[in-house]
Amino acid sequence: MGPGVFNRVAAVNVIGTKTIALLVLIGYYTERPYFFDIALLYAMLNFIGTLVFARYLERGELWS
Amino acid sequence: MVIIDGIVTLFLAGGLFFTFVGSIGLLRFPDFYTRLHATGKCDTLGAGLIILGLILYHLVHYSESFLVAAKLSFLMLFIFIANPTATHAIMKAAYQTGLVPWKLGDERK
Amino acid sequence: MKRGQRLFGISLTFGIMSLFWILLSGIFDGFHLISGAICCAIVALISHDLLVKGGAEKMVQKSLRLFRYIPWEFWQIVLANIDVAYRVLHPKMPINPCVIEFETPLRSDFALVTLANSITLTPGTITILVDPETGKFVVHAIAQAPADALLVDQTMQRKVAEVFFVEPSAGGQSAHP
Repeated sequence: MGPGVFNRVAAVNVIGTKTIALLVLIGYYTERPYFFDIALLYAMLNFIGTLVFARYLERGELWS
Repeated sequence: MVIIDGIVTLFLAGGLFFTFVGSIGLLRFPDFYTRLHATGKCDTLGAGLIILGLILYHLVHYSESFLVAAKLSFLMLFIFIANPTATHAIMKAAYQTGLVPWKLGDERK
Repeated sequence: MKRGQRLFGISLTFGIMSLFWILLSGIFDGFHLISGAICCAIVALISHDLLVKGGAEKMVQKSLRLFRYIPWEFWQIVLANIDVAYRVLHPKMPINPCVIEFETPLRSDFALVTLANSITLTPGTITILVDPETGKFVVHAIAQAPADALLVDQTMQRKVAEVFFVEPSAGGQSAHP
């Protein structure tokens, strides 16, 4: 694998997506329906976090 | 009932296979842009297939609570819209700061 | 914006927000429904112009055509992933990446986002840059065959242009490695 910050951002995105699928499966396995809400919330957090980080890397600052 | 369980197992196995192939592609490809091709497409579909299989399972076995199936289908729709957009944002940031794409014949980066 | 469009915007935002409230809570007694209505009304009054902008006609027909477009899209997603799986698991790994530019006559935000997402989810291509004023797309392709399907056949552009009632044109194309 390569060094550098872009590869690591892609890796964090992949880990987040796999965590969502894992949360839904654990929700079915332990018979508690509250895990689906946590999965929905984490999907939104993963999306927003990746977008904000990519924007910071592109511009060097968040607001201009 | 056995047929529906078989179809759900097929969807879950397909989702697992695509997620696994996405991770193998992350290790094998030689450049950043091609690695994003592998994970951005295969990971999205793998997670989508797993959630689709679980929606079917819920509709058959626990068919008195319909709201949970609606919640899970909204989660699947959100994943299909959000993951390609995040992939595109990372790729745009890498392109604007000058990362050069790989051509056939270069060494591995 | 005019008064009719403002009222339509407020009621549409209120409807969608209350739908989400009922979906996520699941409890149907008086206290939750009334507090849900109050919260949805406050949100709809403050930020209704994020959802409905001025100058969008024929929304119902566009939504119907969008629903007809989605199953074809899903089939293309499955084909795309089988193609990527083949390229990953092949022992010689046949890839040959290149960068491509082309133009489309679409101008509205929603149409450009739909086309960019469809290009990202179809075999072998990911969008890099979208210019909303001239409609120019910069796309990274993983081999020559999907790049040709996007440049020469223009299937994707024709399908999306048919959804949004825009005539597709043979816009200027160029491929540089």
